[in-house]
Amino acid sequence: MNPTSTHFIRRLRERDSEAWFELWENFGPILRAQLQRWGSGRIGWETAQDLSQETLAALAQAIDKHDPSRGARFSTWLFSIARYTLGDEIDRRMAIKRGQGVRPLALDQALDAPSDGIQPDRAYEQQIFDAKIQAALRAVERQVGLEDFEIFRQRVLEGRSGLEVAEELGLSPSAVSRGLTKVRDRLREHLSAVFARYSFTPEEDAELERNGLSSNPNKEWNPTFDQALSEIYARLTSRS
Amino acid sequence: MSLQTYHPPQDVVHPIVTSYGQHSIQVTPEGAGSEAPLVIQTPGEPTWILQGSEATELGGASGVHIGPAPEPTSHTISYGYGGDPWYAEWVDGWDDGGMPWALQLGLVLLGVWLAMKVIGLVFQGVGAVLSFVWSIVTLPFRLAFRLVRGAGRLVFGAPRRVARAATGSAALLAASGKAMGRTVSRGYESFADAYNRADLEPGPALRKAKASLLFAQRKVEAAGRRVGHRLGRLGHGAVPVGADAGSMGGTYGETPGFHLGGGAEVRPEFPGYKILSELPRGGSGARLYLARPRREHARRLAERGVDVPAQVVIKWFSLQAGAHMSGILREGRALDAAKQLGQVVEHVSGQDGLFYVMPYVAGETLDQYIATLHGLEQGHLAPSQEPLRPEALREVLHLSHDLLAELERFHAHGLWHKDIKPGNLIVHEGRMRVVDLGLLTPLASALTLTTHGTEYYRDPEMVRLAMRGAQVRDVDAAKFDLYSAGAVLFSMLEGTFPAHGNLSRLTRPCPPALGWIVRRAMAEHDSRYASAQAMRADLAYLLEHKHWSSIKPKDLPSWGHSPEPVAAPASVDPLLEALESPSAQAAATPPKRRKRWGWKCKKSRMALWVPLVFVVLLGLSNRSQPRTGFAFAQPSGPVVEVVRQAASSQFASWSARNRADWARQQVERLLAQGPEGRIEQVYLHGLPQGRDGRLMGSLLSKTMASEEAQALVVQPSDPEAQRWLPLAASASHLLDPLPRGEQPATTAQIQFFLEHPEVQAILDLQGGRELDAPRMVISPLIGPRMEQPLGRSGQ
Repeated sequence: MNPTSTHFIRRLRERDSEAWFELWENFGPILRAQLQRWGSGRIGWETAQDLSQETLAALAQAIDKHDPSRGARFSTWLFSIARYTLGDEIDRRMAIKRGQGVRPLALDQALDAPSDGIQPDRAYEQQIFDAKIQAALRAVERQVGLEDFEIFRQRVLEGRSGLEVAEELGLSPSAVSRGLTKVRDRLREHLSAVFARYSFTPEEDAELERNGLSSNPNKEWNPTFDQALSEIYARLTSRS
Repeated sequence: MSLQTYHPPQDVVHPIVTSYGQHSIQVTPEGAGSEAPLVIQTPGEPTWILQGSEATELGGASGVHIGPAPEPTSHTISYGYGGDPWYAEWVDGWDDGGMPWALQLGLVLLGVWLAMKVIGLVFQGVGAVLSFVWSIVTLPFRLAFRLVRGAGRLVFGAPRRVARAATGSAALLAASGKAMGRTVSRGYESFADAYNRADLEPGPALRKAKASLLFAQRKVEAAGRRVGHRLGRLGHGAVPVGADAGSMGGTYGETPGFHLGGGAEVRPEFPGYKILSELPRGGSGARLYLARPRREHARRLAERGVDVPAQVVIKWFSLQAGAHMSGILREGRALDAAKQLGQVVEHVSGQDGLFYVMPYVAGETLDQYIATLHGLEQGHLAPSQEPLRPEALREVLHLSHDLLAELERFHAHGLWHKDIKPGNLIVHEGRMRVVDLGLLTPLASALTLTTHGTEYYRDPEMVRLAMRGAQVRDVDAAKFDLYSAGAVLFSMLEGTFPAHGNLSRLTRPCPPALGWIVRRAMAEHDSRYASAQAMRADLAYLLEHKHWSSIKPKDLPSWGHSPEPVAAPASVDPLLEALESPSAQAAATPPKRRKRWGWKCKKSRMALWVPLVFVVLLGLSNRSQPRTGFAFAQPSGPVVEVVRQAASSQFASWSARNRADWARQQVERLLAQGPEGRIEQVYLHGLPQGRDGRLMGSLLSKTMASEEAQALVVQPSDPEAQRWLPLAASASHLLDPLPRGEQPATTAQIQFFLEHPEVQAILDLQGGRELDAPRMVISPLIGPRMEQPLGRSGQ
């Protein structure tokens, strides 16, 4: 586990509200969607909403016992806790129906228990990856000015030419170019930080490079970087 | 010669003289000397006939019956004769033995009655005989008719019964006939009202809808009759849900605001109002009704100076009907705020809850408008990718401008709507109105921010701040409304909600300046429009230009003016209004003109408005005194510093009003740091660990002050909090863990809490008064309280 992740875990353990909110803001929607998918027909939207909160509450309990040496991915870690929360809810309902009330497993036991066959699928992993990209974009948007981010949005995320962007916004091409460079550089920094924070394994750490989002601020890499980002953004915004 | 008979004492009144001593009577009738003879009847004595003044004895066999007379009981006789008039008193008890007239009359009536009775019996007997005879005669014909009808049903009725069984309409009717009957009845009533009285034009679509409803009603009645016996009496009958609900839904959809709500529900009574229909419910647990004030009630309200609209919306909170206490409390606060906007006709609180009355805004919701605009009502699942027509874009611009004007009004009254979304916006005749003021919150509220609102139209920054436990007055909550306004504009342009916040893509071609306005409204908090006024100015700029679609973002008034001064406060202060007057506006000219006037002019104008701003500040600080309780008799050092800054050249490009606003905010911030402005956050202690603790926390949060997380700040060391500890203790018995998904608390439990004298004292439901006292607040499951997550609290 990299030092940033360790630091983030420490913040969570110390109940840093900002760290918890980040986790909630970035991954809450995925947890809700996942819980709804698993509980389809058994739980409603509101219950999924509650359970996604409970997932984080359970995570708060589990964070003290989290053992990095187990080698679990960050995404798998979230996945297990969400599964546990849903399973716990279903068990509780069944127990109420039968007039019993026995919880099958404690949370830490559940995390160590052998999988029941349901593993994070590719779609889930992609959602986690996209959520990290979105988190970095949001962080950049908060940091840079609206004009600069709009240049970046139109030029990179929406794939327009520099001249089109300059024409649309009524700016000079050089202003577009400056704004673009500024935002791109900031985004590289934030992407590195976000992926470092939410990666428990070297494999997760390397996902940025694998997807063409190199953190190297080399002009030669810019077209690849922009292209990769544009594709991810298109995928992200097509999902609602 | 005829005899005239006199019967004393009726006829012979006077003068009558009797002499019983000799068993003789001497009588001289009135008018002595008359030629007519008189017959005098005396008991046991001969009859005397008097003629003239002579009396002749006739004897007992004269043909005149002499009946027995009672023995006189007393007599008084004195008489005279020979020219003097006779005088006497008749003897008591004298009677000829005849029947009294009253008795005679009674006997006659009895005789008549008996005669009629006898005649009636005779006729009855004859009728019975005739009826019997008729039934005997027609019996063969009736038997034959029944045989034929039975055969016909056997042959023609079977397919119909099979079809009925297939559709299940009969079963559905039997199951919920009564409730559905009400639905149709209400629907028809609502529609008829909209059709006949609302300001709708009876166009072909409405006529068709009315015909459809009538048809449905008749069909249902017929179905009820077919099903038989009691269902047939349901009058308006019921709608077979599976068969007709769809078409009925479409029909009702044409009635503004009507909701095809099903289910057997109690329809409340609101004194003075006639309910026309039920409207879709909001998320607060309240029920909404479209109603019409009764004439007498409207007159009474008008006498009190209330402007009574023709139709009203009644918002009803009832614990019995599923409203939660938290919703009632929240609504109480909103009610208070809504009154400031003149949006409340009246409100009534009762044992079971409260209701209040608002003017009804006719029209379609923006949701419906967007669906029409993007062709979604034609069955398309996704909006078309075609660019919107220029006229449609211009209408979008107009509607957005209306929305911003409304928001400006809200913010000017110091209020934050908090739930701007298409479902809460009504479009009518090209104008947009804001409705549903259920979450209305004062911008200066000491409440902690909550996460209420609607996802995708709610600023993520608001959630972030709520999680941190920020108070409303510490943030610029008006900007949250601006985010929502941007999201609404996005929806109008795209036909769908912004699923990824400001990262959402505008896929349909739209004028660059309009896209920019969306981006700026939904931008990060610091880059966002500073006020509704600023956003409206951009929209107004586009509306002013004929070729607005070619305007670039950099041409907009707001470009490069970030951050701007905050939203204008209520212009209730005469001095502030004076600042806004044309002369003052002319004095506070924009920088371009000021350049021509030169430095001297600038100095002189500054000399004019600085004292004004100062006085305004004093006025504003005094206004805020009751809220904060902070005595502010003399301006303190920091306040003077604020005014000095406002007057400095760094604000030269701002208008006088904006300078005053900025200064006011600074002063209020200073005031908020005073001892009375501090509300400490504390947590509820003593929740058990584990699942029960979580459930109890969840229950508590849902039942009482809910997510508002306004904590009853129970820091044992805090003397103010000590006052509220008993209340927390008394509430603790409400915390019986309930399974998830069930009602969070029983009505009795909520009622108990509501009726608690301390709760009553602080909550003041009647007035919906904003509270400054510490409130019951529960830690949410996550967020800023995460350092003490539920299940671990108290550790």
